[in-house]
Amino acid sequence: MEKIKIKGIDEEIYYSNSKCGLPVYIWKNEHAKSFYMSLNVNYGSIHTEFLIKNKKYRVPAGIAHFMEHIKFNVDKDTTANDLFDPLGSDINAFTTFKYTSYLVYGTNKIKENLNNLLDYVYTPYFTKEMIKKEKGIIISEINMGKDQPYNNLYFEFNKCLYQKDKFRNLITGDVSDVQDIQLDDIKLIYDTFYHPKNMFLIITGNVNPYEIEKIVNDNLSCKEFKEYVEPEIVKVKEPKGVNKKEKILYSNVEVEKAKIGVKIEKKNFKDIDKVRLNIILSLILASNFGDTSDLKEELLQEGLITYMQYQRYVQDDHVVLDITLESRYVDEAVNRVKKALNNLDMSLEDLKRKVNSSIANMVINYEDVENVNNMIQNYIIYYGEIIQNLKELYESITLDEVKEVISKINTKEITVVKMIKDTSK
Amino acid sequence: MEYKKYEYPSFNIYTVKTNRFKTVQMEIIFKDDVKKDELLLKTFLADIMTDCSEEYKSRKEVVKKLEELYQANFYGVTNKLGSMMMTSFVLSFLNPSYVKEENFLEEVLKLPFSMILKPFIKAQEFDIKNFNIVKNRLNDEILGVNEDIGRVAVKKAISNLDEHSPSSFSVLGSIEELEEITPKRLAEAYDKLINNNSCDIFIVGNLDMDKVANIIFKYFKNPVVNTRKYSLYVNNEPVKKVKNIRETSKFLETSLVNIYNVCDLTLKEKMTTFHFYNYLLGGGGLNTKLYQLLREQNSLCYGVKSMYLKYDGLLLIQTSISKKDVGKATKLINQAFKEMRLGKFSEEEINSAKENFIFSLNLAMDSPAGILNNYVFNIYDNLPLLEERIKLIKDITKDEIVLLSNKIKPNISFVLEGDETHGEN
Repeated sequence: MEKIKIKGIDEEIYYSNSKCGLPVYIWKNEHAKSFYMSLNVNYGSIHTEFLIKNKKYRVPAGIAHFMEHIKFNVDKDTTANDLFDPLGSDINAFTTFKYTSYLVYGTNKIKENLNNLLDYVYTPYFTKEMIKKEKGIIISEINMGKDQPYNNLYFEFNKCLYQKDKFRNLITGDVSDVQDIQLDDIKLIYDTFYHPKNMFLIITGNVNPYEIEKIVNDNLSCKEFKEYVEPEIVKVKEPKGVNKKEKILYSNVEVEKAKIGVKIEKKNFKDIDKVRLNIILSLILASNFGDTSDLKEELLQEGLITYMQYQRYVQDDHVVLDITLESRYVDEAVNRVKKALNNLDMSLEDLKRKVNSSIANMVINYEDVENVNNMIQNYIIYYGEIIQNLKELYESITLDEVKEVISKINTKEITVVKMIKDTSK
Repeated sequence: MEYKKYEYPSFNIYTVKTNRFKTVQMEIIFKDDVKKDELLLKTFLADIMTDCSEEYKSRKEVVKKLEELYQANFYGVTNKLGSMMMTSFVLSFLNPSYVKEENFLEEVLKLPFSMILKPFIKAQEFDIKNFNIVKNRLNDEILGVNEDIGRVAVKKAISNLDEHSPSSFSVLGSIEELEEITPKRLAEAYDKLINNNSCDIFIVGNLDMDKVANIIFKYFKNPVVNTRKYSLYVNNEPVKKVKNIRETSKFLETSLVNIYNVCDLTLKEKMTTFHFYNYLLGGGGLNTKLYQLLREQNSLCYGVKSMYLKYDGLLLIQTSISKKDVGKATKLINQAFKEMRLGKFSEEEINSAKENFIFSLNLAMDSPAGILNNYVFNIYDNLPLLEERIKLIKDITKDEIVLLSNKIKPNISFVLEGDETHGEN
């Protein structure tokens, strides 16, 4: 077993690659009463086209999420709940664009919990009846999503931002996608992607890493896995421009909202690695649109916004800056944000303060077992490894470097989605 | 964990010393009776008092200071608990052992008291710029409730309780009530808060608590001595005829909210057994009666929850369904109660639920906020401490659970009808 030291904050993560190829990450916290497990599959909602030995397969949108639902069935009469309830543990699962995660939250009987998690996720049991039954529940979930303004705003924003990318689709798929899902699709997805070599296990909390390693190896050595078919996801070549510069959504909202997105080709930042770029962009957005920014204070004082948040995404080919706001004067607020995006800046004082508070946050993040588990998931999914030198990275960022990144932020490809109150009803 | 109480003339400090966390959580609570016309006023006050002060003139300045204090967090919140109103100021910060500055503890503890005792008031009026920012935000928050089907349905259902009962009052209030608040009225409310409300301070963390108490006493010169005991429980009388209310909405889904009176509970039932009853019925995980009947066996909904409002003597059930399924869902809810009354649950199910309930209590011990929260109710309502609650849960018998079924009386059945029928999207 390998120990991955998190430099500068006295934390370490244990890593082991199990015999059948499942990577296992463990963070030990002797003070915690609970443990948190996530068995993650590198398969999310955007992976609907793939090749196996040069043969192309296409499955309905929403299938990763559908799989997450029906995977809870262990056999005709047993669900995952039946396995974990007697142990007093809480289970859940979620699907993102890029991966699916099966979770167990508990306080005792770690061995039984871990064995149950591995057993139920690695036991394929799918029937036509199950699929039929689950459709009603998932359609209810989709409709619940459509009743949430921010959910609609987010996915409409993605449709405006991307021309071809699968980020355009709802993670759940739409009702018609769900209706299209068949038993054979589910079996294909399971056989292709639910293989230890395409998954990773994270356990955080009051656990013994060596015991965990043994339980995992003992469990998996009793299971038979077919050879991993090494599927290749068909990449979508996303054009550099946004799909739509502006869209107005008339909706039953009480408070009007908008999202402003800038799509930048990643090659603009070719000299900066992904982690560093992510950090610098985060600092820039915090300084220009966060609670300590002049802009946010002005917009609040002028009554132009009541809420404003920012986000950045560093993807394979693109970087996206995303500002979300609520306003009674959406047009004016959007114009001010667009103007600010063209005049980004940062002072040395701001940089130092934000770097220090970000480092403090790193320490605070290692308090909660769920939080650490999520953090490791993100590291593996977005960077493919645990980032050990985050503190050093923060400390090494200079104002010149920040200004250089700012100079490469091209705001030509910008999209604005406004959610306006529908007064016709 | 070491619990300790420090008595000062005008406030008490309750401390929990534990070495389990990297952060410290402190809550300064002002208690008062619930008064309908003061609810929104206090919410406004809690917001503005954490947004600005004489020393920090805007939220921007406050956040800068919090960042300098290693990403400390400070916010105000109001809670209506039965007939008691709590206006709380919450500070969380990194344990001083992770920080270089020797006077960090004093610096960080000083901040909330400086803000509470020196608000941004000039000529007996709150600063107008900050006043307007908070007013706009609250305006949107009040309107925003109507964007969330669950919140709007529960708010409407509860407002149909006896209009004189504090249980029917909304903490957020209405736009009309907001319009009546002026900077002057808010300053008067501040005087009342400081001069009339009883104050307690709770703090959880790995600190020298004698030193903490001395620092607090140095900076919190609250002149008011108020040793009054506040009552928490509201006596909501059962109704002779159940109110069946149906309204239409703009949402796709239909929300069903049922409210029940919970009558004549013994102390043990109030503190422990009814929480457990609720857990089995619909408050727990994925194996509750309601979840199994509505979702798993009949695919009617994505989720269904029951909530025990202890201080209001009420039980509330809420779910989102298709409008064609309201009758069926109602029947199934009644069936769940019937099964509880007939004791249609095995010892195994009880044991599983006990394990799950104990897990949730253990989980509360994994966060400073969870420990602090339980301690607050231990002091205000003699709620046993977490360790003791775990023992009490273990002793609950099936007969005790069945007995509770006769103490639940239906009061309101509220349907907020949506537009959509599942599958017709």
